[in-house]
Amino acid sequence: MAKKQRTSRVALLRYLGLRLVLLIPTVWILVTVVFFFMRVIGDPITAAQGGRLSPEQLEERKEAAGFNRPVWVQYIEYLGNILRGDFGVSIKDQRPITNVLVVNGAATVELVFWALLVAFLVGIPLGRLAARYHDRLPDVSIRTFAVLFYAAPVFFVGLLLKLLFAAKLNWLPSSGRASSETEIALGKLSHRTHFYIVDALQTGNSEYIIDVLRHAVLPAITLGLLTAGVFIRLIRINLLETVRADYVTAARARGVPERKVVSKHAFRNALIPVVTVMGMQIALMLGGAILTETTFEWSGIGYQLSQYLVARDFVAVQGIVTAIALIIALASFVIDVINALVDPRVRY
Amino acid sequence: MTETVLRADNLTVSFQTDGAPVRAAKRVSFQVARGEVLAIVGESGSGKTVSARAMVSLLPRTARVEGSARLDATELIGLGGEAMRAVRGDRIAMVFQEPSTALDPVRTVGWQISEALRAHRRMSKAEALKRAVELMDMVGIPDPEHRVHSYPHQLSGGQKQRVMIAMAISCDPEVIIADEPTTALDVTVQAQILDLLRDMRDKLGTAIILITHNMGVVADLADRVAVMFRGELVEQGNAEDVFKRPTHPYTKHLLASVPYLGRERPAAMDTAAPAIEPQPVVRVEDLSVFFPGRIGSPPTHALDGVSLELLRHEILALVGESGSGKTTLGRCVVGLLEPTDGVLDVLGEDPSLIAPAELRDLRRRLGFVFQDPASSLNPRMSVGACIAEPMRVHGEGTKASRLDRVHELLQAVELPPEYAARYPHELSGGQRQRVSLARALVLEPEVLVADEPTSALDVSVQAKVLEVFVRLQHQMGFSCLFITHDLSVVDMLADRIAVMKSGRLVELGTREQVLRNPREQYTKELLAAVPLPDPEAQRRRREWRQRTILAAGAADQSDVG
Amino acid sequence: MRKTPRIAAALAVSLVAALAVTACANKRDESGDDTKDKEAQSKAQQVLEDAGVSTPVTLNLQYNPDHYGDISDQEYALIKEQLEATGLFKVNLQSTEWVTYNQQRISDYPVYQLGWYPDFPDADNYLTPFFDKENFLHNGFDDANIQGLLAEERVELDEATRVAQLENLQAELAKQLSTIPLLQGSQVAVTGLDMEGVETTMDASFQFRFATFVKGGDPAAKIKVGTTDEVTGLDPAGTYDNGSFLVQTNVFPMVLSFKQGNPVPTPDLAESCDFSEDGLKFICKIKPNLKWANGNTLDANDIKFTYDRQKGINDPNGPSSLLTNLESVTVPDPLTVEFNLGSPNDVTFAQVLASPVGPVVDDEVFLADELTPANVIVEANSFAGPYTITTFSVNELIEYAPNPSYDSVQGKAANGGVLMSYYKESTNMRLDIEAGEIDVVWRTLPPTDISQLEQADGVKVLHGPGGEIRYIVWNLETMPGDSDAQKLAIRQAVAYSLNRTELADQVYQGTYTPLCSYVPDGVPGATESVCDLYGGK
Repeated sequence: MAKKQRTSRVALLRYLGLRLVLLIPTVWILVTVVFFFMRVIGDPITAAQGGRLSPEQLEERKEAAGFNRPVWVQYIEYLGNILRGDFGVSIKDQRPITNVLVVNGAATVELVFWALLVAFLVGIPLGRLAARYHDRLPDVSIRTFAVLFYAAPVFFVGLLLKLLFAAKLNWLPSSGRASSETEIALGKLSHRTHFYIVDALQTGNSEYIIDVLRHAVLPAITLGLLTAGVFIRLIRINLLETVRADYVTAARARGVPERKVVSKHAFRNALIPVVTVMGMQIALMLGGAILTETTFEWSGIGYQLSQYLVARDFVAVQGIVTAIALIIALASFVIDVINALVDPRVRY
Repeated sequence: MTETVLRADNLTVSFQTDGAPVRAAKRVSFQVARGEVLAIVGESGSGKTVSARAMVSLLPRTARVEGSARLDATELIGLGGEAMRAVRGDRIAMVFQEPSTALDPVRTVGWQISEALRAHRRMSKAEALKRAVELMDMVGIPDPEHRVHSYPHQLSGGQKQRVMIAMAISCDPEVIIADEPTTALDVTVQAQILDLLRDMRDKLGTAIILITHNMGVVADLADRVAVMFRGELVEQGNAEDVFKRPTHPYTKHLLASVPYLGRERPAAMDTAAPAIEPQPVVRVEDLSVFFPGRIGSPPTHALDGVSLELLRHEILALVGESGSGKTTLGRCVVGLLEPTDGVLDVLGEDPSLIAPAELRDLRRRLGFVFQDPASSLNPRMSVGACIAEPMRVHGEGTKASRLDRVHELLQAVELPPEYAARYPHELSGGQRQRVSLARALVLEPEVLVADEPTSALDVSVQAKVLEVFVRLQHQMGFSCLFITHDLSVVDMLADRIAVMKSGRLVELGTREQVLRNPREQYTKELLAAVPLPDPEAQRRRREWRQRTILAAGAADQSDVG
Repeated sequence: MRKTPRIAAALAVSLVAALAVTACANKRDESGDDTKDKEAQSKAQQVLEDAGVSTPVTLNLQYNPDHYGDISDQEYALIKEQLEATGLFKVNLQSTEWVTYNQQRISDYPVYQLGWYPDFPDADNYLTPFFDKENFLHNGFDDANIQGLLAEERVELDEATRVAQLENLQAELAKQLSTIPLLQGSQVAVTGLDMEGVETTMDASFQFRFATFVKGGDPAAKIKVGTTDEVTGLDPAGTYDNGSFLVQTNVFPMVLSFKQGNPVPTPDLAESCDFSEDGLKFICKIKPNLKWANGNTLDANDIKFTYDRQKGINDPNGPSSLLTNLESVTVPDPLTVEFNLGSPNDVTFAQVLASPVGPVVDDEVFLADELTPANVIVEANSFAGPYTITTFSVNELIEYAPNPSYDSVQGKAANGGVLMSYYKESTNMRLDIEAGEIDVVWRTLPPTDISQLEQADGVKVLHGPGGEIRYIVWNLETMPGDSDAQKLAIRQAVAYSLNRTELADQVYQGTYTPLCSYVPDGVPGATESVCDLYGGK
């Protein structure tokens, strides 16, 4: 028995190892595409400062930053820097991009985490309910909501929620990741992760924890509902498909209780396509995150990116886009891992 | 006759549709006794599956069931919820047609057998798993301690069906409903599964309701036979009686249509065949096709060094089980697949090497008929347009001359000329396949490749299509590569037979030689596994098979994935 | 002064503004102002006729919503309407992206929108940059008379005489109209009802100083301030923007600075300052025994270090250009600093010392020849203003604590410290001030938010004079007109046709006020020369 389990584990590891190796060309292509696209526009210094500096000053700065060297030299250097984890320094505010990634990236990841939580908590039960009451009133109304969820613009939903829960009812804060007092307290931590909930837990002070959670509610719902809409439809349609599958009939035929038929057979199989789509969904969420971050003053990476774009700071944009590409590539790897765990067929 | 366990009386099933309710089974009555195998026979849509499923409430919500079905003292019709759940699996178990879809792909087989046990018996997970190993051993799965942790996709088709049977017998049910339990399996595996079912019946005394369309399977296993036709049970009786002395005209027709390995061709096919000329129209030498595996796994050898020739005016049958490479070879010949290695010569050209324009000219001289007519005919084109399409593509004829040709061909495949204006979905399966054949022949090809052209059809329909096929070959004289898994069909039409296994050519010879006097062990096993549609003949054959072939101890190899 | 894209707000703004424009178009028809309008119209017509200009005159008017806010769309739509209502003009509105705009305006645009925020609140800063020989507009305006008047006012040490000169100068400019003043931004703050002492800082020095703020009468209460400005740095040598200067004025000392309520430079580090006999030295006596918050000595050497450093680093994003007239700094003794000037008796030099280039930095902490990162400054506690910074999280949060050793022009902090939150979206800031999450918002709320807050309970909206001005620039070479006389006539006709009140009320809902001359209201020397000549207030 042990032997069998071992071989299946080896197969899993081999599969994952392979995925990891395949990640390298993917990332290389992404990174290269980003580099050359950004160069098509011209050099970053002229883009950022053109019209503000004299031509001589521009030349001087281009020289200092090395942008007047041949493109391939810059490209090699860029690749080398990325390998060393150096994404450059923004022109606009002289921040190392790695710092932007760590600080603002953490904010985005935290937001996406909360949003996914909402998406799952809302999407899965509603999707199951809709499938269960197929084409009856609950299904129709849930589907209508699902369409509303993902068709409504993020900033609009955000604004509505804010007006209702923050301005009218005054139950929740309208913006920010924490109140000023909490920010200050968290700022004093020696091992700051920039994941506010983790940092708040570090302090052990329930007031800070609650404050951080309260701030997360509206952004998480705003971004989460968007994804929940997609999840509802996915789960519903896949459940409907799997409940018609032969193995579900077979399970029924051997007397498995209806509740278990759905939860143990139909649901798990229905999750497989959901997990696959989730990778893409996370990438989309980063897009949605930009708007959510702007609406809720959530200083995440998406918001920073839009700021740098407005400032035409292409060094920063290039660094952040590269990093986002890496994150998405990594996320798709994680999805592969989850997929392999959920669906044994994938491992071979 | 011993005690009756299950008795259906006037069972009627109707489905609600947008129009009038459709009655799928009409006043069907039958009974099955302990240790007895009742075969319900019929073609697709005859209501055999619906009647069986009605007894365990496994029909869609739109179905309405009337009548009575009693399991001992329990009335099953109208039984719902927990009471019905308690019956399913515990007292009536089911085996399904397609074991690869009837097993949950994301659960190990051990888990699924345990689940069946734990649905009806109070036992711990560990106990259930232990029992699962015993059951798997009982149904003949080698190395059950390890296999119990396998996922379905890691097992072969035969093993999966054994798992389904293990599950079915797990709670020692009174009745097993086996719905086409061997249809999706290769013929050698089918023989083993039938043996297993018989074995279980003998050991456990379970009553078995065997639902099938295959008269060979019926002859092999059934004690009694019930024949269904258009929702009605038209004949019922002792197996030997039904086969020997069918009373209902439909049963007679059915039995006449069944291809019988080793019997004479039906008279309808006895037209003059064109003389075979010793000059090859297709020649393959050492042909190999490798499919690259997923990264990190070795390539699959779909074809591995096959050499053979198709002579002018000849029908050469390529026979083999799934994965034998017979379809791959056919696709190479028509240029749909590029061989990895070896010589390929089709009418003097190598389709994988010539320029696209030349390939077009070559294709003009080739015809291809696919297995599934439903998907190979464009649903948005009329039958006439479908048939004329190759002519249009090759710029042949005028609109009027093309229409004439369409009518000519419709007549040749014995369809009325009005059918030119119809659409594929308005036609039955057999009619569609005849349209496919007409299309393949519209340009009068020199070579026709037919890939399982009758496998998706019911036997009576199959007989008609084969008849048309043979007559056309005799008239038009095309050479044909006929790909099939069904040895009985081969016997009806092939001049020569090539037996394939795992991408290799096992045996090649004339029909007489291969079917009556096979040289290779594998060919013998293959032939021995084909059930004959005659209970007595089949019993003798089975006994002979068990004595000779299985004693050689090699047969089980094909079933070990 | 960058504008961030505000999708939601912009939507709302354009809607409201569109309604406002429609409403005001209707209103004008009803109102009794017809006679006044007709009078202006006939004057405009007369002046064009006299110069032989054939009408309608086509004006390709450029403006820039990218830089001056989306509401500029409404502003210029209304200007077009006003000009075309006279029947004398055909206006083509054009707009483009700011970077392109700022490059092309000099060579390509005959008439265009610009705005100005002063480097220091002195009348000269509204005049010399625009009308001297080498002005930054490069619009071909070169008038010897004006240049002479400018040279006079720049060295006139007597306050009253200088005001007279400035008024005369502006009257002359109004005749020429090389630019047409349009609007003056008013300084708006919104506070909670329990806030006091905010009005005090809203003078024409346009600096926001926290020291006088009190919440609920409690001197220990911390004040929460919100802003949508950005901080680009703490080092005064590398920043030249409102957001950064706001922070610096509260934490760094200056030689001269402004006392709340009085827009005239007053000794801060200095005890007194004076010009030397020849006017080429500006000599300041420094207060004794001054310390930085970290205990370092604060004396004349820090001051010399500060300005040498400003000129040495000469950062393109920094304010060192303001020090053009400063040649060198000498320190005869630790309590005396001498500024050696290029041209004598420069009355604006005192203003320069109180401007964004003014904040004095610690010579023991700051790097002499490169910019010092904010965290280094904060960690070294290198402050000597009314406050020190205890937490600095860039563009998110700044925590200020009162500096106990500070006791100068701004006065000791009357509160327990300040928490300043940075917002990206003014809507969020508005919601927070309404909800009482923050106590004070200064300057950065858009007009629609302010007009909503005017109606809201629980907050006060405070107004003060603002330093920002908006005006129209003429390129005297490329503008329409066959001769100088015709060109002047066209400018005058435009001036006659404009109605600033309508612009301020209908488009800006009172957050901008009509600007009737070159030096805005609140700054010594302000007049109404343009409106006096052409009406249109």
